[in-house]
Amino acid sequence: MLQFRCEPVLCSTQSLRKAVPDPMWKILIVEDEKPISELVRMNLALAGYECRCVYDGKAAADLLTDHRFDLILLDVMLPEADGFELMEFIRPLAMPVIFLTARADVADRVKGLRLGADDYIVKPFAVAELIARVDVVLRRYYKTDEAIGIGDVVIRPGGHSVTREGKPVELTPKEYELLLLFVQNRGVVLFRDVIYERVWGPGFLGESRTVDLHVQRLRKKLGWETRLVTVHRIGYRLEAEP
Amino acid sequence: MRFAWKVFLSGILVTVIALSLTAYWLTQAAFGTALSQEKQKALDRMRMLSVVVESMAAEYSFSSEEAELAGVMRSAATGDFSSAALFSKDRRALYGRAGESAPMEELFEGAAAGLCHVILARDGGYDMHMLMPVQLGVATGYLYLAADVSAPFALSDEMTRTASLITCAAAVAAGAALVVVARLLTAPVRALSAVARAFSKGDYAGRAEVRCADEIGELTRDFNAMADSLEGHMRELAQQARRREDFVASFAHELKTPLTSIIGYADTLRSRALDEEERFRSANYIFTEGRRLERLSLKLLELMVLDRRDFPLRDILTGDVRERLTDALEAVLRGKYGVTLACALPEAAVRSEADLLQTMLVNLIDNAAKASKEGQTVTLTGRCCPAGYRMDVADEGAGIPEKELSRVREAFYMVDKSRSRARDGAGLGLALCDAIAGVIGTELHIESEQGRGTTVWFLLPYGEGEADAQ
Repeated sequence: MLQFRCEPVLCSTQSLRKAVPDPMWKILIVEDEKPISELVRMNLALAGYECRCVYDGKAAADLLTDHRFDLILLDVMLPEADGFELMEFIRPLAMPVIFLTARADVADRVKGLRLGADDYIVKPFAVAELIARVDVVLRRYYKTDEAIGIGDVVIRPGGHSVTREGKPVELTPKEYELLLLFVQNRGVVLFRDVIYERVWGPGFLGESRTVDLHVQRLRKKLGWETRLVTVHRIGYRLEAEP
Repeated sequence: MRFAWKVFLSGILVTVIALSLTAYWLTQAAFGTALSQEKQKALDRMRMLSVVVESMAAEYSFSSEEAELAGVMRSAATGDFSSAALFSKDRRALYGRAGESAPMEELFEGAAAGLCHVILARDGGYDMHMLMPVQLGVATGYLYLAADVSAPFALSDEMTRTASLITCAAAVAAGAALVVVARLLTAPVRALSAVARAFSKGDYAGRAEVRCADEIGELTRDFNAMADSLEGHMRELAQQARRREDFVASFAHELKTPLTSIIGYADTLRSRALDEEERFRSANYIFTEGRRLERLSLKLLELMVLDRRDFPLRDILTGDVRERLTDALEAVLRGKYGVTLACALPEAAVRSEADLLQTMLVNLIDNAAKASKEGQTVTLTGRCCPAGYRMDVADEGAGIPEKELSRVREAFYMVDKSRSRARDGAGLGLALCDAIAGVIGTELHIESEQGRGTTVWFLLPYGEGEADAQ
């Protein structure tokens, strides 16, 4: 199995990323369906992002002429101006964009990505997936390799490296993905099916021990026996504060 | 073999055969005439000679001495008759000799009955050998004469040579003409074939030019007609496929939108600690989006049922239609949209299906109300027209832009997406009405003026008498 070479990292407490991004990332949500817009806003706000919602293409364009956002979540089927048209307008502004759309066919995805979008999320989506993708795009776009510190564990997503008390920890790719998922969703109960689908892909069959085995190994390697809490019969939660 | 080649070769063949036969017949005729003339001339000479010899022999001698007869012959056989010879009765030559090739046995046999002649070839020509019995005084003998009859044969040869030359020249000329004719004849066929090939390769726009009114022109016209109808069919199929694709895409969108909310809020509720207000909002969204999904599935179900079932049409009184409509609907319109419903249906019996007609009217009125602003009126008017009972559903709302009019009946098509959404539209109302109109045997007409409102009307056939009070 492929092993991640983890190098020791020296990190000062200032460079550690806190549970709430600092400075707060500002995200624009362009989505005409009120319930979905509200859903995305609520979850991003819970994950510590500052959000602004607009409900049609024209309003988005108006807002973007004199406001800067760190990320734009863009629906494709919008009144006034659709997402693809809006993308043309956004591109020169140099802001990362994630398409959020019900159109699942490959042609549309390719079109979206060709237009310069950074990612493409198809509805219906899992909330954990949305947050993970937002995190990845922000990190990639702004090239922040800020170390994430949780207790004595420091994670550097840019270098795929994990250290505990300054010593490298060797994690399998699945364990690493699992760790990232927990870190991105701190304080949130992650159901077994959600974990499985995010890390192993679709096809959760119910009574699988895979998730539990990996979580146990992760706990042992990181010394997170108390921090990574089992939620009885449901799943696991990474405590934000010990 | 190519058709042009067939035309070319068969043309050449026919020309050559016809010319050869004509030349042969002409040559034969000319040869026959010339030969018989020549023969006649030779025979005349023979008879003349025989008369001279007989008369001289009669004058001269009674004993018919051979020496005397030779003398007679010497004086007679001069000039034209230099080839003459005389034989005694026992076939002995008395004077001169027959030609070397002359078949004497045969001639003597023949001459027993009178004048006999034979034509034989010799080097560079033909000779006619003649032999006849003659009275030489008291004795008898045979007179021989040879004549040159080469001229008719030479003429025949000459004519045959000329005829073959003419035939060759004619064949070449005809060939050249045929090449041109064959190309001209096959040009439309080749053009048609090129178009057909292009058609089979996917260029459905190409048509062959009809240049003549003959069978090929007809074929070209038929081909063009076939291509037109095929292209039409294909365009229709493509359109159908596009509509189905649009339907599936819209359906997926309509389905995924509430599903995203329901799944997302439920997921949020189960995995995150929310405050009281957020929890209420999430649960409420799950409820409203669930209802939206329910409405969508019910409408779809109705649409599917329409496809599957036969609905018997009965006579219905318009008064009943009005009664069934107004009460509940009026309250809903006032409460939900703040819109007043005005009904004016003159009494008449129409032939229709009561439930379907009601569903259609409710949907049309609901659509009209959605397009209206608060305080406006939606009117349902009936009118007895010669063609049938006309029902109008009119609003005073925003109207439909002209370029959208042709598409509003498509399932999930919404003119103003955000407003329809805000008012619970799934985009299936008009599609359903259109399908119902088809089932009850009528057609929806949509007239709209932007800013002035929209009127949807249809004609119902009048009842057939036995009013069915339902």
